[in-house]
Amino acid sequence: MAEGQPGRVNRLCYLTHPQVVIDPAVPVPNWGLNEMGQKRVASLASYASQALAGTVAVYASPERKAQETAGPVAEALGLPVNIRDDSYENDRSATGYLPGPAFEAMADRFFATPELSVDGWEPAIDAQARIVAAAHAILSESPPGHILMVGHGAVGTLLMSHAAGWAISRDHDQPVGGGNAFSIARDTGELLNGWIPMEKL
Amino acid sequence: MVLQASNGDEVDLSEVPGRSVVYAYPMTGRPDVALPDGWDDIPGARGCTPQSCAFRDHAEELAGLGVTRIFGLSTQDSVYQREAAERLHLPFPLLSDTGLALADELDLPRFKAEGMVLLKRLTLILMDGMIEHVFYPVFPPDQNADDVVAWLRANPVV
Repeated sequence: MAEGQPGRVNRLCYLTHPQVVIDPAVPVPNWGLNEMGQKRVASLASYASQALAGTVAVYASPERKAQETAGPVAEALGLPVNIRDDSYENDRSATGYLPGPAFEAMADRFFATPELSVDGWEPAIDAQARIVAAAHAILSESPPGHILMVGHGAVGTLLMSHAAGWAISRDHDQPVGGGNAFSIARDTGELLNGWIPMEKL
Repeated sequence: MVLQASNGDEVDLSEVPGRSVVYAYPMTGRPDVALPDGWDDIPGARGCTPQSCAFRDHAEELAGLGVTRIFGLSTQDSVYQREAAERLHLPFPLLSDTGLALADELDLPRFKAEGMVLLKRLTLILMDGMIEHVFYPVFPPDQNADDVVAWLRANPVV
């Protein structure tokens, strides 16, 4: 992803945080990465200078798991982490933590009825408008080059769907485990590649 | 037939008890090594890292469905495989069939690239060392673990 090479497109790479410690006693935005997630981030950081060459700015959601993902990578790139307060995951505070099957059922409803608030969750169309606006703001304020934006699966899927012109659907959700990335062309906003594991960056 | 595993073990797949999953793949790339020329244009060559990562991220779910062991299988040597297993943090070993002993025994499909003989993507479900089901062809690679999960749900261990 080297900047300024002929024929190379400057891009925004959206990276989701990898595996987290699921703790019902802790608010979801305060969950941190688990051991696997930390190892995966450390691996990416170890070769970030190659994999993310040409990156000129790193942005992260205000949530702890996103910052724990962005931090080591940004440090390896010699860049600060810029926190975008409006790039958090879809607001699920109305229900808080939900155990696996209940969460999956709610996530299905979140994507299936994007105009509606499902049990108090932020509607998908609102979350999409928010993350798209955040991405646009990042692109407009950043110098030329590649951008790394670190965030979450649901809003990431909504941003990717917007870039691709797809209707909101869970069919476009990221693979299990998190730690996946997609890229958008900075100049046209088109989707360059869909979800790939962070190990393929 | 004993194969060298990336974790130092020696594995005889015919002796593995219970239900196990073996996914054969051509070759994982390395961040510091260029892939063979034209790699992305070879049908079925791309996608080994996403496939391995998907099995990693489904490992707990597979265990919950009765899978006792997961193995990757390729023709690279164990040193090459160990780098991949460690870098990708795979919770299962990769088996090396550099001499094509298993590939010849099972007549596994293969292709050549830059002089290397590589396995085509194929996934086996084994029960007590016997082949129970074969996924072939495997496409897309990153969907393979999901397909295995779906098959296991439809075919539970009785």
